[in-house]
Amino acid sequence: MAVRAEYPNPANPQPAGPPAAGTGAAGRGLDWFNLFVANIQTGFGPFIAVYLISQSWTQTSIGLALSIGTVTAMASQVPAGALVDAIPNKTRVAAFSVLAFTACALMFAVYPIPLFVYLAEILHGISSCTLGPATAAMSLVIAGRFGMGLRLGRNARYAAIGNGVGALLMGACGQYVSERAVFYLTAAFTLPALAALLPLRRVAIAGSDLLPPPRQPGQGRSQFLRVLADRRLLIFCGCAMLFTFANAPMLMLMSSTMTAKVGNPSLLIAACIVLPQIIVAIASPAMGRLAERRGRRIVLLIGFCMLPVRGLLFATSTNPTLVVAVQALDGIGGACFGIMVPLIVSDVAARSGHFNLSLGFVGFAIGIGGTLSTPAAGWLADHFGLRAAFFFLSAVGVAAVMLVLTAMPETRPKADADGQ
Amino acid sequence: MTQVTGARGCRRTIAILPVLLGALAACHTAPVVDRPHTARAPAEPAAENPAPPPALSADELPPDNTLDVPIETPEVPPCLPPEEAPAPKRRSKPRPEPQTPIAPLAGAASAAPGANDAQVKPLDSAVTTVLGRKVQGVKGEDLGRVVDVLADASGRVRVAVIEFGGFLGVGNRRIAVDWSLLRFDPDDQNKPLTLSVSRNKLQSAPEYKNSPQPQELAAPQPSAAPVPATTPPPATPPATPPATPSPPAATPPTAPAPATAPPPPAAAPTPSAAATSSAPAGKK
Repeated sequence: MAVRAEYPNPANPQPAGPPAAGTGAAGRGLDWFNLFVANIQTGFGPFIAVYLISQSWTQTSIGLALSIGTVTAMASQVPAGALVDAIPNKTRVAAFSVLAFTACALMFAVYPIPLFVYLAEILHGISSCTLGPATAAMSLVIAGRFGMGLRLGRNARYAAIGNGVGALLMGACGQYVSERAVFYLTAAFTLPALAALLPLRRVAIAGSDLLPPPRQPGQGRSQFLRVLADRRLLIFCGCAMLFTFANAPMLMLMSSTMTAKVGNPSLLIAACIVLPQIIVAIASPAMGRLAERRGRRIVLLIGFCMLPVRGLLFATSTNPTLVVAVQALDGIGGACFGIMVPLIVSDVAARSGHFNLSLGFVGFAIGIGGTLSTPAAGWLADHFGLRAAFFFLSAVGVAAVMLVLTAMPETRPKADADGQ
Repeated sequence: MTQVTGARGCRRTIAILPVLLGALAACHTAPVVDRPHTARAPAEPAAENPAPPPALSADELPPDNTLDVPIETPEVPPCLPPEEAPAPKRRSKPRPEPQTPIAPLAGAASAAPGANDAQVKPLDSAVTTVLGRKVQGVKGEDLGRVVDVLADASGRVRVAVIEFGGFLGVGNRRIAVDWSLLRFDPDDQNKPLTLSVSRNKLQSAPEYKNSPQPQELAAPQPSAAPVPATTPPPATPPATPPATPSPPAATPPTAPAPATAPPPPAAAPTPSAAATSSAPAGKK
């Protein structure tokens, strides 16, 4: 944490920071790509359940469909990461993932019978798992390790804009047009996403040597395991899992409470969703810069500290105005976390040749946290009340902060590739 | 998150799977047979007393099951390619053109020769799916959609589970509402169902959970037992009910499982009343 030297990377002739933020054609392409992908992903969220209800699906079938999606996404995180590692052209991976999204959205929209909905859920789960690492890899190629913080800040900004705009557009679409139209809109958004990849074609290929598979001295497998067993990566997985565990159910608990109490809950919940995205869009670049200047730990701590604060505030008041205001903290936490995941993984594993695998590994940990926490928090809220649930989530948040504070080392790269 | 609630709903739904299957089939196919909706009329009286309508539903569901399941099979195969445009269209409208189902029915009948008792015959009233139907308040305000229909041990439909609120699927709430509080429009089956409960009442009602002691918004207790089948002409549906649901809803919203009056033991007063009233209605 104390280290602040900004040495040029000996192994990498490319100049470190300045051009790396990627304002060239490729960088701008990546900006737009992040925006449209976030747009697309909004359509595949919890809204699917609403849509299937409108299609006269039974609760059993809907539960099954969503479970299939969750399980697929969890199971394919690590394999998909390994797959992306193995494919040199990350842009192509990204393009195919987006095409898969097109297919999913059309399956939902055009023919929502169980077979296609289940297929679409599986396809979406897998392609989400390839798209995330591919995007991070493209960022790494464009920006280089030393510009990664800034680049990820930009990514997060544009993704947040995409999320916010997508939520508003699709919410309005579902409300005023039809539930089905949301998926046509989602499918339509995949076209500009693909177009945004065009300027990235050449860059990705040319730059793919930026993450050199380390000339394979030993067998692949031992290398493979060594990357995943990196202490920093394991600790960070723990942090990420706790963060997601505490973070994921908060909005859900609070918004269903709002629905019970407020005159126009939809509008309020929309505000609770969109406001954090605005904050993320504003704060992300600053957080990325902070991570490059002051190190990762401080950014991580800022983001993680938002959790207990938010939980405690939610536990004390359900005043709608306050709830929306507190959601701003979610934006700060989200900005920090969203940047730190690929950044720390790139610190740890960028040069190992297993960057995407490691990213998938962290994604798996995050998935576990998110999957376990929602039922746990729901159970607590049912049996001990909303306040107890928020206290519990705050406690988990405190645990996450403590883990960062005590165990998580600084990973900002120094001159040599190993951290401290 | 939604996935979880869905999973929770599973166990409950399994119990009434046949009913749901019927409803699902009804939406997959095009139900069929234009028939004067005689059976619909009884639904209206619900205004005054909750008892009669269940009878209607009881009458209406069985044919749904027996008929639609076979119909579904011919419908599915043709639509293999996902891009195929026409098929989805048909499905989007829950109740499309009244295609004459004679041919498929005949085939289906021969396909299932084992059942001696079951007969293939046209539905004696126009039916549509209930799952996914929109629900609106007396003043036309949006109150969500029907996501589940619950029956008691005797198979009588007792409760509709309504999901409302939220944004893009976040923050939805599910409330169990007594079947008698829902009103069907006899003239237009595509119209949203009308729920004679104020929005505030619905919002503050305890969330429907798959707990052993779920709670529901029920019709007023007093009118339930005594005045069953007397008032077929509905006339003033909105007037009475809004005031009504108060007693059960008074129970604290988030309270875990206080086995208070309204909820579970289905056997209370209503069933008997309903049973008597159902006798006349059940014509088939």
